[in-house]
Amino acid sequence: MPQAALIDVAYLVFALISLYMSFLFLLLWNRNRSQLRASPVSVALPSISVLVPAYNEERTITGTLEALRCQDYPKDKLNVIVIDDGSTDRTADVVRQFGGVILLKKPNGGKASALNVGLAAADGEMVACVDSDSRPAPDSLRKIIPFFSDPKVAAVTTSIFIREPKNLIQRLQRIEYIMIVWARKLLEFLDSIYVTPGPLSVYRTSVLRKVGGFDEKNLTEDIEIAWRLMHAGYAIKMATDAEVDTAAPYTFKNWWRQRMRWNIGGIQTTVKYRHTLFRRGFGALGTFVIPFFAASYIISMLGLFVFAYIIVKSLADFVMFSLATLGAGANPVHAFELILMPDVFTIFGVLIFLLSLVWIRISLKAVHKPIGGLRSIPDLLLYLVLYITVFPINLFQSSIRFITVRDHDWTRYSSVA
Amino acid sequence: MQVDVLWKAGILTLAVFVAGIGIGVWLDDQRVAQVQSQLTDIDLQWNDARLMSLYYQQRAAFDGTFCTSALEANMGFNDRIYKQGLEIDRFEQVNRFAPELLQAKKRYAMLQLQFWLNSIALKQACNASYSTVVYFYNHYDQNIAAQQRAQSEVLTELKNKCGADMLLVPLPLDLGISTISMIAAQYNVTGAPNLLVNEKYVFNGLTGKSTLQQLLPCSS
Repeated sequence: MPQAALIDVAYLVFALISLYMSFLFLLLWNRNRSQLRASPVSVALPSISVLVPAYNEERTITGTLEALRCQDYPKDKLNVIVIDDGSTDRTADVVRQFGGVILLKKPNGGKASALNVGLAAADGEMVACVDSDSRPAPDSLRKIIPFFSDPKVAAVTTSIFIREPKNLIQRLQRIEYIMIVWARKLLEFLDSIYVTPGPLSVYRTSVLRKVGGFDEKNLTEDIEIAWRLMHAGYAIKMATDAEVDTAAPYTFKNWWRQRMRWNIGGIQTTVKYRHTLFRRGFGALGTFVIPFFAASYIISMLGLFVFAYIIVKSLADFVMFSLATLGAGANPVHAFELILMPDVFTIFGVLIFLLSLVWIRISLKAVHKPIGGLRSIPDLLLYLVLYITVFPINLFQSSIRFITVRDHDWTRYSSVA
Repeated sequence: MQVDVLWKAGILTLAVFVAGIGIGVWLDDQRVAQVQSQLTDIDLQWNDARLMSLYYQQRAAFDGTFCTSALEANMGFNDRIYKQGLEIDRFEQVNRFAPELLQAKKRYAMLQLQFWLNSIALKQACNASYSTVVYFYNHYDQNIAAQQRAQSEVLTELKNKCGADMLLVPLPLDLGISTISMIAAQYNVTGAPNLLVNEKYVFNGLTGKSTLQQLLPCSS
């Protein structure tokens, strides 16, 4: 098949998958918009052990512990356990200054191993995992608990927002996290919440122990545990009104590392659970989550392939043409004209872009988080045009790293700001 | 799990996708129809000019009046089909589903060929002084695309400078037009880009501006 036809086919497949994803989420939203903030009936409050894994978090853990101290939750039913994962700074000293916080110390072994140590020591009926740079809202735990009224629910996650963005990369992540909140809640209606993120997620202690705790070899233990719970037949819900704010990487380099960790972890987990693909008995894990991950991967790689081909070919053509024209004594500068004629690709490109705008608009409105009105328009455009287009490059590098590196070390991808 | 939403999204996607492809095909067809219509107009114009030549030829009366209007009509014709060629090139870059544009390209090439042959005859009959530059190119070969585009750029600059003193005739070597193949063989034209100047000088490969300017004296 000629190169040009191959590119055309790749683009059409990309357009088909993108359209499907857009329509799926819009239909889910249209059907369930009145349920986005609904909460089950309140139940008796169980005891909760809050696990806070920490590695060199002396600058941020104070904020986390203060937020936990301010929780509107019976103090006799709440205990906080900080697991110091071999910090080399003053994290342990900072924690000791807080009264009523249990401090466990262990040699450095990664976040999952720290959580498992905390899980072994927990005595609450529920276990809440909180990152040591996150600050749960005072009413978050109270808003999460009612979702456990269904005995099948093993975990509940929350709405995560970026705290006080200070530069462009953080503002772009803020937009991204808002859209993720909306999308993740919609996935609940497909029983497909595929991650219980670190900033704040709550689990039934007994179930977490039953499935074996967190996978210490996985770079994204929060994705892996969610899939393990689904694999075991449990449900995961999201308490939209329970909020937590967290720190986002401050530099592009740290952001890149964080996303590599997420991508490699996602690939690790997909490979681990590939046996569930399209098979019954594993709930939505095999029938939607893994195909959804695979489709997202395919669109990203197709998009990257098509875009890179077009850019590289255009550049190569331009260089070769310019050299040939200059060599022949003519002027190459005015030879290029912009062809503004609509074709099938333009139609799909414009449609996908418009659907993205609709998606952003709906998610911003649904999540009730202002991002600065008209002043945020440049950020939104940058998000659509630049931020999203960088993801596939990161995914590509992550794929190569996944294949070529044997043991993935959490600290290599640490994104401490 | 709201499984029905998965199916509904699939159906909606297919419907929109098929509609999008349909609109794309319709747009391509519209462009092809536009080109075909314009080529038919040019064809008619060409036949009109040719009939005029035949009439004067029968009367053996190639006088000054005839030559002035015939040369002017010939030049106008050249400009018109040249612009048509540019439009076909632009449409070719965006059309995805309509192969009929290739037929338009062949019609265009045949018109150029007729124009060239008529120009030779007019030049002799009216003792005109313009130069003819036939540019042989390959439509399909992407490996020489940069050289061909560079050659087009050189010729466009010369045409802009020379105006009516230079007639530019691009002819594709690989569209299966036997007359063009025969002419190319006669002049030993073996590849592209290739130039034939005043039916006498053959240049193989990319030819620079300075070389051509020596053969194309331009008054403007």
